[in-house]
Amino acid sequence: MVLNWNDVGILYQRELRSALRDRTIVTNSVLLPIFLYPLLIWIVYSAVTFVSGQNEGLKSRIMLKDVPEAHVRLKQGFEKDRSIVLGSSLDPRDDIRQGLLDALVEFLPPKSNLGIDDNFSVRMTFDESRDSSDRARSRIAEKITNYREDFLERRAVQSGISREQFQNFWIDDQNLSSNQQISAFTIMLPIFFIIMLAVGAMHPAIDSTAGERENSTWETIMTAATSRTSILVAKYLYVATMSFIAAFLNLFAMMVSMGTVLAPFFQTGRGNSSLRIPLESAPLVLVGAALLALFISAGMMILASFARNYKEGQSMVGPFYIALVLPILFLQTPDFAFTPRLALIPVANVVMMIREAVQGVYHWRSIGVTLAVECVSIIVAVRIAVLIIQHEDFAIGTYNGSFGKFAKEWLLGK
Amino acid sequence: MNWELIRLLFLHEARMLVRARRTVVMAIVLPAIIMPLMLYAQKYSADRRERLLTGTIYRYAITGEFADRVRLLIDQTRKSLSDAQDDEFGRLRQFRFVETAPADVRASLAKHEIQFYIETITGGEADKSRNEASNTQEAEPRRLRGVPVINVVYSGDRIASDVAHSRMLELLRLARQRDSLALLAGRGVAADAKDIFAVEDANVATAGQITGSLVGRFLTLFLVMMMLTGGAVAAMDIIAGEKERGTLETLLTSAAGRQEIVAAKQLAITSVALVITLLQGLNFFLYVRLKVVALPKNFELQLPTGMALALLLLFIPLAATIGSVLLMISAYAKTYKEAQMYFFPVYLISLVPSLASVMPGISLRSAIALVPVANVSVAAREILMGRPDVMMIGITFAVMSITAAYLMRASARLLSREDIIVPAHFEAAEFLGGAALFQKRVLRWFALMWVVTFAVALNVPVLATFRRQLLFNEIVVMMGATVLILKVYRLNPIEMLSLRPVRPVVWIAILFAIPSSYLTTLGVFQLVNTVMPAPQQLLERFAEDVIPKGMPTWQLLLYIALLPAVCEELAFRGILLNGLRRKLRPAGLILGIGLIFGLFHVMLYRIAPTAVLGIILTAIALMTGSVLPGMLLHAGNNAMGVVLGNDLNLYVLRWWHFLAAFTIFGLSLFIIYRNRTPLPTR
Amino acid sequence: MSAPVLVRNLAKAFYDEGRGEIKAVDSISFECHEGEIFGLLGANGAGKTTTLRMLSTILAPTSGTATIMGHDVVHDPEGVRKNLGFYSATTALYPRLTTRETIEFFARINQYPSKRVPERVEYLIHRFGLEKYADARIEKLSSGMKQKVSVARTVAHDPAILIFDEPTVGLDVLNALDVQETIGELRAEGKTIIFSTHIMSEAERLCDRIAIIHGGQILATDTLAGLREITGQHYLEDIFVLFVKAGQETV
Repeated sequence: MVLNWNDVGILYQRELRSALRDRTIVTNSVLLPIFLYPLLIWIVYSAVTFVSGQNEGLKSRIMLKDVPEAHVRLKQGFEKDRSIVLGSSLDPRDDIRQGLLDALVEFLPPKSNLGIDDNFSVRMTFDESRDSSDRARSRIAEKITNYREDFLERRAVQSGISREQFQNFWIDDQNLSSNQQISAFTIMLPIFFIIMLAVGAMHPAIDSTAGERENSTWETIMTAATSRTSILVAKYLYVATMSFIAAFLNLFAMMVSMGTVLAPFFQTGRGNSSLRIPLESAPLVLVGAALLALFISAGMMILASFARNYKEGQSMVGPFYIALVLPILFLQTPDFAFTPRLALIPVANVVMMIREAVQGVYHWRSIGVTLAVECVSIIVAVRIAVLIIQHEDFAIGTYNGSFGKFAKEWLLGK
Repeated sequence: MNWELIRLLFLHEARMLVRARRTVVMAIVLPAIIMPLMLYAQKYSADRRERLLTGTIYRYAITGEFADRVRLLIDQTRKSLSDAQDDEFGRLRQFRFVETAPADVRASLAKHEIQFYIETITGGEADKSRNEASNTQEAEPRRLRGVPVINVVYSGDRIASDVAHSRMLELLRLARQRDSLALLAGRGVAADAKDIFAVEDANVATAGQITGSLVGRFLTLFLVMMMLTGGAVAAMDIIAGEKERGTLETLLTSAAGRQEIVAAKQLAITSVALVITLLQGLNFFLYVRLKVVALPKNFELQLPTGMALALLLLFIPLAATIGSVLLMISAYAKTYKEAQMYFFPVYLISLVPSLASVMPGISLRSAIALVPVANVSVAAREILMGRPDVMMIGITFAVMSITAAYLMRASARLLSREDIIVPAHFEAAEFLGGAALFQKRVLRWFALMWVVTFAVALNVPVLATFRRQLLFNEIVVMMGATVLILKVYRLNPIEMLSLRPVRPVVWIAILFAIPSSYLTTLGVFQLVNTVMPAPQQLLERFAEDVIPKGMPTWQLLLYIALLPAVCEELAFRGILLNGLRRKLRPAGLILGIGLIFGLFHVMLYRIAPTAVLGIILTAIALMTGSVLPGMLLHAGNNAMGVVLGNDLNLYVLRWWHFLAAFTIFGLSLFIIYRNRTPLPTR
Repeated sequence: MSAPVLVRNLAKAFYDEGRGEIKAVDSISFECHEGEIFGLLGANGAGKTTTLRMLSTILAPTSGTATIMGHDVVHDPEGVRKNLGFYSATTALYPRLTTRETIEFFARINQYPSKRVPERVEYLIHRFGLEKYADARIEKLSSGMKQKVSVARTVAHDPAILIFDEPTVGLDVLNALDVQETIGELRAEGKTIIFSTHIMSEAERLCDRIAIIHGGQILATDTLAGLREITGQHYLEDIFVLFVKAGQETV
């Protein structure tokens, strides 16, 4: 097994050049990372604001029944509200069921008097399964709460308590972090990251192995005057590069679009909560991405190299892709501690490392374990790949594209 | 249609599908396994989150002059909470926190030693600092002078801190309310807040209806997702795969017609989609039974046989429609790989209509019944809520069946298109370069320009000001790209930019069109706004960015009217129009260029009106064969926006104003049409 | 009865974005007699495949007419395909079907009377010596065997007209000879066969009449003997080159 780095360089360039001329690879490794998630997030936020706009715009049809004389103010409050239309009905309960009326507010005598002469109680009839009715209910509840507070304050003033005294103290809150959105963002980030690394690696991995078999260029290149190791190393580096590029572009596109396209949506409340990943975390994020890219590429290439054509390659790599993404779903919990024990699990450890780095937290012991574990897994994966390609049968492309068949023969000692 | 042949072909397709083990695994087995896994992961993280939040003991500190009073208040409230047994404050009762006394609270918060701290500020101090920063936006309840402040300081990037702080706020509000009421109690009002004007709910919906409403919201979306992903694996194989293997040609030379071939393939994919639907349904109910899925309280799904049949009746044409969409991709693509590339965007777009049931307050008894897929999504929810609207369900079924049939015919037509069945004979444009290559590449150029506009212009600080950003977008991006394209492909500028004179009467028509088209686009905007109202706050925020205050009018006219009119017209109605002219029919051109023009004005609520303007401008450019009249109209339109801008109160305008404007505008378009001098086609 | 295959001024033009109209087939006419092998001889890109694809109704002609057993290719494509077996290097077989299933499928899909299908399938399996492989999936067969199955499926519905579009491309000598023999046998059974090739020796050996096609036009149609007489050359290769050169000069 001779490794000629000069040859590797030439082969690597060849791979990259043809990759950038392939529509599928360019779409998946370059365009998709750049546009997909920013676009998705933009659509989701637009939809959310659209829904809330619609919610604001919808009017609630409410019927008030037996409003006590003493509380005309409350009734006036309902009348003034532009989002409420007052109506009346002969059979309000049925109308609510039919969706012709949203809610009925009945004023009843109070359960107890409590020293308040004009106390009353309210029965609110609505239909929880209807959006409009459910919204009407919350609008009414809010109205009554406000009225109650107002009433109590007036009552206090009447009994000689000053408004200041009655307000008692003012409650406020203050966020020291300028970066609030990032916490939600960092929970999603690892998933995007893994998906992008995998999507970026998938097509190059299949194309450079199964695809070459299909185009019969596999034999052409295998007969070239260079060692088989050099060829495979070049391919491997190329796949890892594409994977890394995809993840990097995705991250970059997210940062860029978060700052602009989404900014108006985020600027609610005080403070400028722009999304910026702290610059000092960049080295760790990049190292993590590179390690993951190498690991994922190795796994995908091992599987894809058994396939005889593109489609087979895809169905071999598909499950691996899912196996990569699924465990990450379990890491979605916030405040999952990045212990050295967790750092022993490949892929998940890098995800945790990146997440913490973005939040500005560095557990150096866990990071050390992570890097070591990841390097070991890459070496193991590459060793397996080398073992596989040493088989003559493999180079010719037997095993009918079945990894299982190969594993069986290999393990049972032929 | 020969049904015997279709039956034979269908059985053939089904046999091929079943024998492709990998296809079966990818389409049916895998989704069946993944779904419970995903649901479990979801439940696991939700449970864990809940346990974490309730199990953690949060640490905090209190500082400031009246810390003791706050401490006492918190203790009292918590004590009374743990004595009372009502459910209302259950969440607060479970919440455990312990006070600590670090030396420096801020540093301690930064080091994660405490989750938050409470800062007490006396009324006097608060009054002073309030004067310094008096731009607080909260309008309604105001802090009165002299009232002390309790400030809960936390770090929002940590979930624990965020949660703890909001719970503490809740507790403090309760404490305040009780404390204030205690003041009243001394004066004869002995009341618990919840007994004053007590509110009692009477819900007329049954548990089954509430559950149906909840499940119905996402059912169709979920099914469409499953049908698309599962059906895609089969569909990609069924035409694109056959093309690649060469068996399609064999089949096409047999006595079976293209209609029959497509019908059989369509049936095969539809069956796959239906099998997936049924399997996922069973799967879901199984996991509900096994409690893998976290269910909300009072979850009670009622589905009588009649309703279940009605649902099935709607899902069959839904499956057929999705099958047709997938079949079209597969028929269009030349290879399996290519089909897969097209699949993803189509997948995302197809999901959009099924979101209709997520929107609040949409009833099937409306125009939505005519929108394919969206109508099924709304109808399914109404059925699950136990309120089927038989007539509208019938209409929905009809609309879906027609859609499926139409799409199926489109697939059959695709199979008759020669460039699609027979691999391209000549790919000569690449060798010829120049104008031919330009036509192939023009969309890529515009995609690049779009990226530059948004990635660069909005992120580079130097370009942050209004003037620089406009100059960059118009001069560098629009003009720059135009000149570059002309150079790279060695095009004739006069011809490619459509710099042709037009008949004089066209100019007069344009002058009339300026005010009327302005009002027409405004009317469209109003109309859009009534159909999908935008939150007022958001609209205002977008409007702030567009027109800077305090710029002299002549400069505004230069930057907003003249510059964009010249640069954008040359780019869109010159380069883009000429690049696409031979590829699309006039209707497609007008809509396509209008939409691309709208996309360059990105904010969602501006796309619609700018797209309308783009459509008008493209139509005029097509009719006159020149960019010049469009330039005048564009400039005039924008100038009206600048001059009238803030002064024009839209609410003053009534519908007849818009109608009059629309009529005048229509007339001027008619005059332009009668005096048209279009470019020769082909 | 008129000739089983009749082609009159058939033309096909493709439109290309860059170059405009390209005439792949430029108004050709010929007819085949019953029970003969009619050869289309031409270089790659001469228009052979496009012509045959039009005859098999995969492509629609731009102008001109063609009838197969009296059925017009434009107005009655189904009728045409019922009477036609089309074989080319690009018409592949379904890898996951067995030999027997393949032949049966194509017999049925081409509307061979369904009662007689089993009998026909057995006959063809026997006829092509496929007994041993009758129930093996196509994907497991060797390329020579696949070739045989392919021919068997072409004649599955016993059509009167057979089109072989470069059938020996990519085959080894023995398999190619096999195919040639089969074609000869099919003629003996009374089929009318259109056979396209760019291999001179094949045309010399098999064809009753030969059409030399170049640049989308037929330059000459005659028996081999007739062609030799006109040109005074013996070898078909020389005859072909002579015509092509003469054709270029007139252009």
